[in-house]
Amino acid sequence: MSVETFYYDNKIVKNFTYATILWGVVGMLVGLWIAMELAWPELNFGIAHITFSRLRPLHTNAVIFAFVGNGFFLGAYYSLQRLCKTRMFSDLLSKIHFWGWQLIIVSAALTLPLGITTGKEYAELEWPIDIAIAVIWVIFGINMIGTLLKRREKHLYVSIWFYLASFVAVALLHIGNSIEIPVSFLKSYPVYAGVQDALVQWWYGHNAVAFFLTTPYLGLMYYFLPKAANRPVYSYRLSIVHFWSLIFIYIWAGPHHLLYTALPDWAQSLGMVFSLMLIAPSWGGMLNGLLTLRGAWDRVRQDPILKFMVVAVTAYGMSTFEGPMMSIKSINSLSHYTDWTIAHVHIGALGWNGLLTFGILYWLVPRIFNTKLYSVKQANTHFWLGTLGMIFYAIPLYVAGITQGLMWKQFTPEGFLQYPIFLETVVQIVPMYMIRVFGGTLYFTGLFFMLNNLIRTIKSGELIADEEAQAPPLASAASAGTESKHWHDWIESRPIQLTLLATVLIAIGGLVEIIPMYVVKSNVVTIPSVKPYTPLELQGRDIYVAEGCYVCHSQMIRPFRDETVRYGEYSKAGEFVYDHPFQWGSKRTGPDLHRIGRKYPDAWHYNHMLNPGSISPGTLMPPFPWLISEDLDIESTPAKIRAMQKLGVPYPEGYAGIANEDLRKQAEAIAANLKEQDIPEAVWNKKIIALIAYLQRLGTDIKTGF
Amino acid sequence: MSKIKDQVIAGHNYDGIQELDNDLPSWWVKLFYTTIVIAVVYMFYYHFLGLGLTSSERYLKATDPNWTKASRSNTTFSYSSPYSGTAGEITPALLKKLGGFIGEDVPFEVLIREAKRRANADQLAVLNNDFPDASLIIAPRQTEASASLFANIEAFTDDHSLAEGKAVFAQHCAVCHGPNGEGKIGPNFCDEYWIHGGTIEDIVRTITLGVPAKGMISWQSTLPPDQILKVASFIQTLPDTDPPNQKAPQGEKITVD
Repeated sequence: MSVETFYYDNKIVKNFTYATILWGVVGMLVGLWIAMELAWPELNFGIAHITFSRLRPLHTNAVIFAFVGNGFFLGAYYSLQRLCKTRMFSDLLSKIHFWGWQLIIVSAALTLPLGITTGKEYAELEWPIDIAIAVIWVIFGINMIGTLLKRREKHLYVSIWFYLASFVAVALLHIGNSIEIPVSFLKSYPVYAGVQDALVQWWYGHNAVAFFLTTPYLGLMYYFLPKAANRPVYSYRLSIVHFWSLIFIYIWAGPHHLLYTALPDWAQSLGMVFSLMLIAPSWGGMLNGLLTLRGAWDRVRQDPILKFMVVAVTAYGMSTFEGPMMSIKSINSLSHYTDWTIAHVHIGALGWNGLLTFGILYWLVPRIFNTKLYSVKQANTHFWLGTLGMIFYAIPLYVAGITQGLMWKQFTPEGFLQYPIFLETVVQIVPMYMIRVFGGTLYFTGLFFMLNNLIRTIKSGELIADEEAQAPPLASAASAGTESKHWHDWIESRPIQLTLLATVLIAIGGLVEIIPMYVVKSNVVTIPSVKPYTPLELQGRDIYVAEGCYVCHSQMIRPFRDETVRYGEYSKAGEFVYDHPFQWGSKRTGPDLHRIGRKYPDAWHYNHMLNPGSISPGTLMPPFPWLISEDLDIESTPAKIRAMQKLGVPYPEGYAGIANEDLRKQAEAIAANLKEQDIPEAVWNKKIIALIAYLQRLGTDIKTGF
Repeated sequence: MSKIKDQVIAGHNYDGIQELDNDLPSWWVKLFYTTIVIAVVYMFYYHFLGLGLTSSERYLKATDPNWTKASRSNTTFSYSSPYSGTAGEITPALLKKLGGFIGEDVPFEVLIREAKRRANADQLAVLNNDFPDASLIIAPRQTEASASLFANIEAFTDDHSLAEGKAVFAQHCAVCHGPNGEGKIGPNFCDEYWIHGGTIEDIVRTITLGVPAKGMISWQSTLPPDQILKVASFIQTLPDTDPPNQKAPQGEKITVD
């Protein structure tokens, strides 16, 4: 039998390894910083760029797309070559992929603190970066599929199924959710509005968790865990069943982020029941991971790599059980908008993604550098810091979330809210935020043990840039007669067909949920009194988006007695038809703002933005003094109006040309009003004026009972 | 039945990784089927058959014990609130429903006051007409200071009421005005200077309407009128005290007897 000699590209793996570590440190440092800002809000020092609402998207993007993203690529580039017995399809594409991805991350790190954002969670990056992401992602896909086509191994191992499904799904989700109309070089409006935007966004947002944080890492687990444990995978059949069921079901579950919102009930229910059906497929991955370790548990006690992997897989199992539970409507009515959700996602991020990445790094770095790990003891220390950090992070937030959720709902026997002032429920949980900082610090400290350990490991060895390997070519491998007659054989030896089938399965859920939202009229009932925003309000809304207000404030009052008493009439789908993008939010660190309009005088908002603590002592809201000093950019008004018209917002024809006249009139009225209310320094052309106009408009379009 | 055979599948060797031919764990399969059955039953019950309540229907039921599914008529998108009918009106029938909303032990007068307190001017006119009992007449909700409304108020002087006022103060006011009324973000009550007037009428008005532009919120939808009066009466006793760490005086000096 003829045997071919070829070389694995370890240099690209090394590059992604360094990027993973670097962005891991950066992303978690930002996370730790904003955790401190929540406990001690004065830490923003009045500087716009390091304010919580601008840094929080940076933290989430850095951890998801930079840390976990590079982690996925490092593992995929390492394992794919070996599972296919070939070098990557193209070294050039590998390079473009690597540098392109890092450039995207750097552009995110520059734009987000500047307030350049689309205001859609985990999809905040503006349109030029969105295009770059799509291009680079497709390059990665071409490189991966090209590699599969020149493989020397007939069958695709389960890891590769997961890589392929992740590639397809993320491409669909990212492109689908990022369809937007550019207004200028760094500003765009999504084509979707209100309820539709919410549904598309959470179809994306939920499945970013599914296909960026989960399926790629399941692929990594299927390669690195059996390798590290040196044990066969527990059940091939379980791999098959849980893979296909997972990718089909996951995509439907997005609406569980929108339970009790203005999203139609049927879509909410689909989100809930599909989330429940996700337990078993998710646990399939956990079981196959843990049961693979049968016979190796004695080694788990000694080997920190296996410890990392075991706790990672266990954290995966916990959060994939908790997720479906939180998707049950009645549980969600308590957990939603609270820190419970934050705790939940950090079990996934710190536990599953973080610890698995660390385990892989400790396993892989000595191998590509042809050496031994510098210190097993330090790796053990890192393991304990990571695990304890996760626990000290999550538990206080569970306490905080449940406490606050219950306080929001508590009525006195006389029928008054027990805690009518939102701030009371915030002050209560600040100590928990402080303990969370402690947990985060532990976890972050662990990183430095890893950094030191890996640097010393790397210094003690030398990179095998091109690792020699040998295998027979594919044709002779096929004729070697090792064919087993499993029905799944057919698809797993055909990468194109497998990719297409995965695409169809992944597309179904989204289509079934999103299309009716457009074609069935009753899903979004038109309310005649809901009118487009005035030019000033529109500008104010863009400031609301840019400052990231949605990070801490929802605009979605759920149909609960406690919420209608606290905030006013519950939110209706028809109220959001001109909201490009929707700003419903997902967390209430501060109160809901949907019916804030006309609740307080203009001067209240002015003073409150300047120094929230002067009005609400103990508040966690940072001051926004730059809104008062910075000029409003009214040059952009015509372009914004025209973009909105293209999206179907019924401004009169030719309105773009005269919009600024209306804007000025309204702004001057507000400034005059502020002057009357003891604020003589108010000037019409400042950002604060537009923001006040928007806030005073919020939720006032429909007449409510009182 | 699931079996653990631990049989390596021939030919499955990927970079040294082998796979076993074990069955799916049977409890796992049962769990999967159970969730599928729950999903199907749920969708049929709530949607295809329409037997269960939608979230807005459940809201109506939570706010109105007499609400039944039979009475539902395209309620999904109506603008009903617990305080008004679909046209925004408050009727005696609706008030009765409010019983369930506020709690069963609540006296009828409290109920009516509660409804009136939350009503707008038009609704209030209807309510005052339907429930003309003098003690229940409430003036229209104010958004601007109007001295006449707060005229002729008598402060409480009995210990019991003042103690109640003190409790309200500790719960709601102390955050801004200090535990002893010495002033923090809000002004000091222990001196004889008042920014918005120091008579009992002035204090009740300031508490009721608030001074929103300066951060003092309106308490009329949080505290019942008698509690506002009690806490105002308590505040009036404060200038006789002299706690430490008092904030510098603000406003005009007014000596109230």
